Amino acid sequence: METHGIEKFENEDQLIDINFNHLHYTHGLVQGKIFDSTILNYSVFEDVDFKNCQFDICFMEYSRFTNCRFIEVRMTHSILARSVFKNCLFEDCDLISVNYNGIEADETCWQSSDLYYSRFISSHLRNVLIHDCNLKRVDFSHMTRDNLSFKSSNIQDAYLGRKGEEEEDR
Amino acid sequence: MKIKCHFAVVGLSNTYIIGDAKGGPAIMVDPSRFDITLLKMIEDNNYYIRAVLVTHNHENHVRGLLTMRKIYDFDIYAAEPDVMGFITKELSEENHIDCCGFTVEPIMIRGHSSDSLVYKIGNTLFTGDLMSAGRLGTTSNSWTKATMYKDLAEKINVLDENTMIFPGHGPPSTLKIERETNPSFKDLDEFTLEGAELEIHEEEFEI
Repeated sequence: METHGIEKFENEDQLIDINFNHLHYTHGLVQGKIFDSTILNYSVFEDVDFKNCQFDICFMEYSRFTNCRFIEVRMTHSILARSVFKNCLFEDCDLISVNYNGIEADETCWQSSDLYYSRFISSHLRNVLIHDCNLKRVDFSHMTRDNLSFKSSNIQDAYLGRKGEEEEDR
Repeated sequence: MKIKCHFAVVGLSNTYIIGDAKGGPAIMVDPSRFDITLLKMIEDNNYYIRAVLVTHNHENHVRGLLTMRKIYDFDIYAAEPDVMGFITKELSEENHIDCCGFTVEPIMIRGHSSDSLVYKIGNTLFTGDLMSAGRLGTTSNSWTKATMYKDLAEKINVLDENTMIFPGHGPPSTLKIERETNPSFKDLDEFTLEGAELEIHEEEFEI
């Protein structure tokens, strides 16, 4: 798959089956775009707002998000694993079955969002707020945490990282 | 190769459709539940399901066959001769399949169930319950666990790190990510690197 650059990323509304590995995008608004089987690994996003976008089976691992906001975004079956989030916000999002394993998140907030069946295994969460979110079947096992808050989220249906208590696939 | 994923809320299982981006004949992996969302996914993308690959014969991964059979004409591939009362084309590791424009390599991984298969298509694995993002499959005793670890070490952990993993439950992953974040993969590394013999606790194995 050929790797494309910033021009295609900015100008097309449907970014389907496109490889943008190592993209560097700053100070922009990404609105209403459809990402389907899009590859954005090893990318850098700084001061970017994603609004009303849709991501399905997208690959964004080993990326860095700084001062980014995801507003009313729908993301399903996608990989954000091993990425770094600094001062980011996810608000009013549907983030279903997303792989956050091994992420590093600092000063980052998930607010009023549905994280159903996502995984944060082996993640590192520092100064993270997960407020008013659906955490049903979300797996936080083997994470490290420093100042993590789950205010108004349904943690009784989540797996909170006690060794040996991970949910099992049957 | 275009992959579509359907998540069944009942059973919490993933079903995959593999075809061309333009539609046409397509493969389905693990028809967990047949509902309106899955029907729309097939029809809106102009797919015709010609082959169903079964990773293992557990009801929450194959129940959709009951309705699928009434609509589409397809072959069922599995490690067992019968799934949900339907005759299958029985597979072993020697049987590579060419269907719908793809070459499918079945990989037998014992442990989670006696009939567990991983399907490799290009650099993509469909792993059923054997492995998912951050986890390995459950087993019933130490013997089956040891067997599964040995098979995963010898047949899966030797593949390229960019190999993509589409599991029966939960989000997708890659082999590189699993090596770095899946706590159970450290055990696999030991088997791979040292070729360690596995201890079998016979008292846990019911004969």
